[in-house]
Order: sequence, then structure tokens, then C-alpha cells
Amino acid sequence: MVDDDARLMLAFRDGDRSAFEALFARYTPRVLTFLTRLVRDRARAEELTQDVFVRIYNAADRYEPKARFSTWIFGIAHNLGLNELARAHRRYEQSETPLEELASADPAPGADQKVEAAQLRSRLERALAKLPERQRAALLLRSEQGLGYEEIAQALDASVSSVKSLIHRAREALLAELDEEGAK
Amino acid sequence: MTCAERRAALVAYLDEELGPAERAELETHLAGCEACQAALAAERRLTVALASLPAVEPPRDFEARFWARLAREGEGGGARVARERDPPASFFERLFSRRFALSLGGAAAAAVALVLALRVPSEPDVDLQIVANGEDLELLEDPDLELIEVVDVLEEWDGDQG
Repeated sequence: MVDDDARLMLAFRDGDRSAFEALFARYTPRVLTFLTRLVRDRARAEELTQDVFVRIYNAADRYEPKARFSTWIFGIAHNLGLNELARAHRRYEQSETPLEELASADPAPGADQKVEAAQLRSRLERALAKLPERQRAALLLRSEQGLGYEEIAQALDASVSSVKSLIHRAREALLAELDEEGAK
Repeated sequence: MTCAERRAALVAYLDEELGPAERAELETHLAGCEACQAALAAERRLTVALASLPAVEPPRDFEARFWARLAREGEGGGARVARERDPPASFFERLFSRRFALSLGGAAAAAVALVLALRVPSEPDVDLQIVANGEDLELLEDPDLELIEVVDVLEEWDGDQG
């Protein structure tokens, strides 16, 4: 079955540029969010997001909807993100986006509750950053992007049981880290 | 099944990724196990916390930068952009289009190569670019020109001949 986004991609393949623009508008924030948290570098994540769309643009003539569009685009984003991490691991350790900057992208907190929520997000961002890359990718695709396990498995080129395990271990690590930070 | 094994299934349970039998078994267990109930509550809180992480919004000029990059790099997409913006409408327009110039270049290159192959066998080091020395060949040397575009050009030229 062809999903709505795949239909847009087919329309673009057949010459409808507005279909690509619709996909670009729909997926840019999602891909950028995913890549920013995966590679921990906002500027580089923007470049990688552009790379993702360049690839999609150039692949249009050959496009066949073999999977959901979201699976395809996040598979590309994941591969580019992991390549980037492998290539420039040391650079990221030195210049990663401040976690507080990511966590406080919401309006400024006023009440105590909002301060607590912002602190929780900061702790969560720190804990996410410590996860192994595959665990982080699987968790983000599930919790932020809403992909199903089967979709994540295709995007990460893994089995569904591996995805379950990656997500479970990621969440265990996050809970442990949050408990530890909360106890400080 | 132990509590530890069941806890590994709690996330899949929350994500509604368990089969009916597994789900029913887990729910029966949860009804009588406070430790697993607490673990499920912790997983729920984590799900809410993860969902509260803000999306990263692209800068305002993000899309403009994308189109500018495609046009600049001509990564296949550049050619596609050019086609979409200025589709050649007639033979005469095509005559002056870059793509048609490239196709002439392809033809010229093929012709020169053939002539050299037939007539200058004793000079294997002859530089085709020097012999032809035309703008068409320079276009074919354009590093921005993707292989796929070259193939496209040659196919188009073949079509024009047919």
C-alpha cells in the first residue's frame, strides 16, 4: 500500500515540483530534529538535512515506493548521520551543541513547574547524548518520530527483535541515568 | 517468565507492539505485581518526558539555501531545476540551450575521437582537448556535470538523430 507521502514523491517523480515542496515542508523539521539529536551538532545537522533532501531530489527519477516514505527518508538520514559520526567523532566531542540550548527551545519558563520541566529536558538530553548511536537512533525514531518497530527495522537495516532490544536497552539506560542525576 | 523478562516487554506493550497473547499475559501479570506496575509507571513517565523534547525548527532561509545549493552544485538536481524553470519549448530554443550545446559537444567529441582513431594511429598521446579545442568539449569536461547528465545528453542526442 502506498502512503500519502509516497504518493507525493510519485507525483514529484512525474514532474509535480509542488509535491516535492510539500514533502520538504513536512519533513524538514522532523529530519533536522532527528539529526540534531543524533549527531549533536546543530550546524552539521542542518547540512546533513540538506544532504538528505538533495539525495531524495536526485533519486526522484528512479523512485519506486518499496516502503513507507518516512522509512526511506529516515533510513537515508540515519546512514548520513552515522557516517558523519564515524568520520568526525572527535570533532563532535569538542564542539557539540550545548544540551541546554536544545532542551530550552520552548518558550522561557516562568512557573516552578516549567523550570522543573526544563530541567528534566536538560537531564534527558544529557542522558540521550550518552547512549550508543544505534540505541539513540532507534529510540528517537520511535519516541520522537513515531515510526513503528517494523519501519525502524527497515530504516536501520536491522531485525524487529534487534529494534525491540535497542529501544529497551536505551530506555533502561535513560531511566538509570535520570535516577542517578535526580539523586544528586 | 520472570519479572525481568516481562519488563523487557513493557515498552513494546506501551508502544502497542505486542501480539494479543503476549499482551493478555502481561496484563494478567501486571494486575498482581506491584514491582512491574512501578516499572510500567516509570516507562510511562519516560515516554511523556521524551515526547516533551522540543522539535528543532529549521532557520527561515533553509529552503532558499537548499534550492541555491541545488542550482550551484548541479547535482543532477541542478539540471532538473533548470528543466523545470525553463523547459525548452521548441527546436530553436533547444538549439541554444545548454543541454543541446552539450549534445552537440558529445557528437563533436565522438566524431573527433573516431577521426583520430582512424587517421592518427601513430600518435597515441594526442590530447583530444587540444585537437578539438572547442567549447563543447570544455563543457563535457565540466566537473559539475554528473555522469548521469552526460548519459542523458548522449541519449537525447541519439534520440535527435533517430
